Amino acid sequence: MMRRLLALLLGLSVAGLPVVVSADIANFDLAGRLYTKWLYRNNDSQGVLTYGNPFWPDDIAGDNGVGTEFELKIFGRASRYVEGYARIQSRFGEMWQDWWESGERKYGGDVNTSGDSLGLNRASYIKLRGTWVRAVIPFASWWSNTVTIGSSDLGMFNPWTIGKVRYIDRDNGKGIFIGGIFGDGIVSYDLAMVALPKLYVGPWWSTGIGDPSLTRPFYSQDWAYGAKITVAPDWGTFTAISTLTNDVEIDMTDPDAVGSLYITCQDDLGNPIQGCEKDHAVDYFSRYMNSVTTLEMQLDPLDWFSANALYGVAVGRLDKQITANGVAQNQGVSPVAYKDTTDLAIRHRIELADPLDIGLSFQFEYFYIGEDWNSIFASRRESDVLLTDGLVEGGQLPTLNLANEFIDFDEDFVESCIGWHGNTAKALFAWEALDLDVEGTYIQYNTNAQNRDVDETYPDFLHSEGYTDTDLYDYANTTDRGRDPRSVYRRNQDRETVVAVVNIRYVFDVLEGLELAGKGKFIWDRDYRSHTSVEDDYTGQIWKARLKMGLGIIDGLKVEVGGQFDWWDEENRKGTLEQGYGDDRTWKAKAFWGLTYNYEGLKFRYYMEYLHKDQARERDVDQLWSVFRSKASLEVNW
Amino acid sequence: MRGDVHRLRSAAYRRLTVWANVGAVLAFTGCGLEGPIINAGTRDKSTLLPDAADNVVIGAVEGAPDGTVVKAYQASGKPFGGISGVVAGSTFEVRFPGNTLYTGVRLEARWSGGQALALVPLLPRQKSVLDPENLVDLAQEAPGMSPLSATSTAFTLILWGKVLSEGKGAASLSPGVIRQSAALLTAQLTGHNAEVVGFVDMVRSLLSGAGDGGLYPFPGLLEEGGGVGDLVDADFLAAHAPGTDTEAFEQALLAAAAEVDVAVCLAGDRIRVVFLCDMGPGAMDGNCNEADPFKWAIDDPDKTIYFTGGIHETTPVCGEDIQPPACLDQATIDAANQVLGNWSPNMVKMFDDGTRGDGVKGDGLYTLALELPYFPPGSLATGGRGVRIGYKYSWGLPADGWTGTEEWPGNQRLMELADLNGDGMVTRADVFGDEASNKDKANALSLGNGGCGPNYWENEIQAGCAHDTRENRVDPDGGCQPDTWPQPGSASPITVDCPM
Repeated sequence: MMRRLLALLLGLSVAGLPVVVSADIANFDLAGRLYTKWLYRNNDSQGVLTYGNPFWPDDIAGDNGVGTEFELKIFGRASRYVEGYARIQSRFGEMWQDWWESGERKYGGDVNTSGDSLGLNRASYIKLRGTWVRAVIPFASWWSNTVTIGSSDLGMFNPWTIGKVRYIDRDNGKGIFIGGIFGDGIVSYDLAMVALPKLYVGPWWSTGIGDPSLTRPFYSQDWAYGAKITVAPDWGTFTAISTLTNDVEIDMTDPDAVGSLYITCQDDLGNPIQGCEKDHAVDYFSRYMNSVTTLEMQLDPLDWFSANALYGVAVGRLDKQITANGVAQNQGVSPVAYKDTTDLAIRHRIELADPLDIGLSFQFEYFYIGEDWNSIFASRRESDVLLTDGLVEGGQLPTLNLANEFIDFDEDFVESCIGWHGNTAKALFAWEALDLDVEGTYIQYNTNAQNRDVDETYPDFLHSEGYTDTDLYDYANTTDRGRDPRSVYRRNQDRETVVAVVNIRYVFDVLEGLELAGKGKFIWDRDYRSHTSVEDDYTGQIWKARLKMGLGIIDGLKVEVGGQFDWWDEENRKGTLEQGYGDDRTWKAKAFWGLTYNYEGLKFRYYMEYLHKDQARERDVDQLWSVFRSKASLEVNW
Repeated sequence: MRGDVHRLRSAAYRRLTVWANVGAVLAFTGCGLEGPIINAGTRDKSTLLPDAADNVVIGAVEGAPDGTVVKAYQASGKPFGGISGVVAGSTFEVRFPGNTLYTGVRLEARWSGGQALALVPLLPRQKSVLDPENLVDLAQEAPGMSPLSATSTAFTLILWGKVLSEGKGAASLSPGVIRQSAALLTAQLTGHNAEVVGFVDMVRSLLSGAGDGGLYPFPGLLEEGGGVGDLVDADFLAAHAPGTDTEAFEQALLAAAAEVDVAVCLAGDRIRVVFLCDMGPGAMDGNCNEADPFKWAIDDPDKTIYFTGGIHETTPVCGEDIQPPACLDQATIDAANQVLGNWSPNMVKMFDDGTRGDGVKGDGLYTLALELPYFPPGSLATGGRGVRIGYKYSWGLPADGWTGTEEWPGNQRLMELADLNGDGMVTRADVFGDEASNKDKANALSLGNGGCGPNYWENEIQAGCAHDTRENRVDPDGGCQPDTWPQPGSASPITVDCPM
C-alpha cells in the first residue's frame, strides 16, 4: 500500500514539473576588469584616495598607497525579450602592504600586525554591487516598452532634476524604470521610481538618519519619482521632466508609533487627546520634499543654427517640526535652506556652427538660476549645466548637494551655480590641426543681498571667502583654501564676476602626433559685500596660464609634459566687518609630466606633478607648499 | 521588430492585459506609491499639543534686597532642582511645572541680615495644556504666609514642628490644614495669644542676627530623623542667642503649636506608591556589586525608563471567602492594572525631570508616583496577604517591545503594599537590572546574603532565606547595609479631609 502511494506521489510530482527552459553558454556573457591605482605624495598620510568622505571617517583615504580592485559583470539572456545583469566587485581600499587582512576587526579600531584588525574595507571582499532585470515588451509596431527593475545610474533624466549619479555610485541607485517609444522614436517617455539613498538626499545629508529632531528615523519608504517625455520631430527636440523626492517620517503623535509622544493618547496632563486613537496603523509625514520640473527645447532649423531653451522650477518643502535646523545647528553647513523654497531657472543657448564656412563657430548663453533654486537629487559631479568654464574647471551644477569627495587630486572640482545670472559668449575656431576657442562670461548673482539670514535660514558653509584652491583643498579649511564651492550665500554680498578664457590646441605631424595645448584664464571678481562700509570690498584678479605638450611616440604610447602658473591678487580677501580684512597674494607654479600606454587591452597611466604655492597674507602668516605627488593606474578589461 | 509584432499580434491584447496588470502591481507594490496613497487616506487626527503651562507663585519678601534668591523645597524636604525665584522690588515669582500637583511647598529666602520661610498650601495641576500660566498669589492663597516675614517663618515652623512632634513628615500636611492653620494662627496673633505671640517674637529676635558669620537660625534642610529641636541651628543660637537653647526653642514652638489642631487624615483605601529606579552610574545591586543595567537591555541615547506591571495573582480577591476591606474587587483590580501598565512594555513612563513626583532633575533616579488601592496586610482572613504587585522596568522608546528593553526576560519584581515607615506612602527604591533584590524566581542574591533562588512573599518566608517584597531601605553611604528610608521625591501622601 505504501509503495503504491509513493509511486503515485512520484508520478504526480513528475507530471507537475514545469517545463524547464535550459540555459546554455550562448545566453551568458561575462566581462571582467582589474584596476590598480598607485598614489604618492611627499607627506605622511596613508591610503589610496586623495579626498575621502569629509564627514564619515573612512579608512581608505590618504595620499600614499597602492590598491587593486576586481569586478565581474555577468549578463544573462533568459529569452529574446528578457535579460538580467549582475555585477560583483571587490571593495577598493586594501593596500598591497595590508597582505593578509581577513576582514575582522577584533581590536576595536586598534591597528596591529595581525590580519584581523582593519576590517572589511581593507580586505577586498567581494560584494554584489548592482543587478537588474530588463524586459522588452513590443506592444505594437508603433509602441514598445522596456522595463528595468534594479540598478540604474539614473541617466535618463538631466542634471537639473534627477541627475546621473557619479561613476562610483553607478549601480547604487535602484528602482523601477519604464522606458517607452512611440512611433519611430518621435515620442518617447521614461518613468522611474527610485529608492532614495539614506545618505545625502535631504536635510542633514540624509533622509532622516542623523537629524537631531528625529529619534526614530524612518527611511524605508523614501522614494523619488520621475517622469520624462520627449517629442523629437526632425527639426528639434522637446523634453519635459518632472521629478519629486519624498522623504517621509513617522508621525510621532500617532499613538501606534514606537517612540510616540502620545502612546496612551494622553497629553502632558494625562488628559485624553481628541482624535487620538490606537488603530495599529502608523501614519507618515513628509519631512522634506523636493520637486524639480524642467522643459527643454532644442531647435535645429538650419544646419548651422541651433537654439536651446530650458525652463525649470524647483520647489522645496520642509517640515520644521521633524527637521532640525542644519543651518543653525551645523555651523551653516547644510544642503538645503531651512525654509520652504520655490524658484526658477532659465537657460537660453544659441549655437552658430561655422555659419561663414571658415571654421568659425559661436555659442551664446543666457542663464538665470534663482537664489532659492535647489535640486536635492541633481547631479553631484561629472556633469555641467552651463557653457562657461566657470570659476573652477569641473563644471557648474544647480545644487548645494555637490560631491567634491571620493576623488583624487587630478580630478576636477564642481561648483554650485545657484543664484548665477549672466551671459556667456564663446567663439570657436577650427582650422586644419588648430583648435582655438575664446570665452567671455559675465555673472551677476541673484544671491546678492544685505543682512541675509545665514544664522537660521541660508547655509553659508562656514568658509565663503577667497578664491577656491582646488589643487590643495581640505574640507575643514585648516589651510586657508578659499571658499567652499557650495558657498553661494553670504550675509552681505553685492558681487559680480567676469571670466575670460582662451584655449588653443595644435597637433603637429611628428611621430604619432605632437599636441601643443595652452589655456589662459582670467577671473575678475568684485564683491562690495556690506553696503555699510567700503573697507570690506573684495576684488579678486585670478590669472591662470597652462601649457601642455603631448607626444605620441609609438602606437599606444604617449607622453605629456607641461606647466601651469597661477597669480591671485585678492584685495580684502578674508576677514570680518568688525575686525577688518586683509589683502592676500597667491602664486602657484605647477610642473607635470605623464605617460599613457595602451597595449593589447592593457591601459597604463602615470601622472606626476610638482606644485609650489606661496600664499602671502596681510593679516596672517604667509604659507608655503612644496608638493610632489603622483598617480598611476593599470587597467585590464576582458 | 515588425516581424515579431506580426507573429505576436494574435496575442497582443492578451500581452497588453498581462503587462498592464504587471505594471499596476509594480506601481502599487514595492515602488513607493502605495505608502503615500494609503497614508493620505488613513491618516489619524493626532496633533502635537503643547506642554502644560507653569504654575507661578508670586509673593513678597519683607526686607529682602533685590537679587535675594527664593528657594523652593519639596514637602518631603528636598530642594527642587532648578526651581527658584529672585526678589526684585521686594516681590518675587517662582515657576513650577504645571503638569504636577504640589502640596506643602516650602519657600525660603536668605539674605545678609534676614531669612524668611513660608508654606505654599497647593499648586494644582493645570486642567488643560491649552490653559495659560496659573498665577498663585500667596497673599490670597494663604494670607498668613505672605509676605515672607518673621510671622510667616514662625507659622511655618509651628506647622512643621507640629507634625514632627506627632511623628509625621511635613509632606502629610494637607493644603486645607495649612490654610486653616495659617488663618487660625493669624487670628491668634492679632488676638494676642501669648504662646503664639511669644514664639513669633522669639523668631523675630533670632532673625535679627540672620546671616552674621554666615549662620542662619533655621536650616533649609532637615536631616533624616530630625526632630523639632533640629528646626533651629544650635550653632546659630550659640553664636547669636546665648540666652536661648534648642530646648527653649522647642518648648516655645510646641507651646504655640498646641494652639492649633493639625489633623492629618490619610485615605484608608488608597495609598501613594512611589517607585524609584536608579539608572545612575555605580548603582549597587542587592549583593552590593555594581549593577549592570545593560546585561539584557540595549542602550540608546533616546531611551528612558518605563514601568509596567499588574496586580499580582496572589492578591486577595473579594468573594465569598474574603470580605472587604482586606481584599480587592475585580473592578478595582482592573483599574489598578491599567494604572500599572497591565504588562504592556514601555507605556508607563518614569520621570527624571523634577516633575510628576520626581525629586531631582537629571540625577539618574527615575520616579513614578501612583495612587493604588490599599489595605494594610496582616489580616488573618487573607493569611496576612496585602495588595501585591508584580512589575518590571524597561529601558526603551515609547511603545517599544520587550526585546532589548526589559531588565531581564521572564521574571518579575514583587512588592506588597505596606507602609513600613509610617509616612503614609509606600516607596520602593530599585536599581535597574538588579537581579538580586525583589526578582521573583531566578533571584541572584548570593548565598552569603541569604539568597535561596526564589524570592518569597512575607507570608511564605523560608527559614534561612532572605526575602525582599516590600518598601525598602537604601544604602546612601555605600556601606552595603541598607539603613535609610528613601526620599519619595516630591510625592505626598494621599490626604483627605478629616471627619468632623
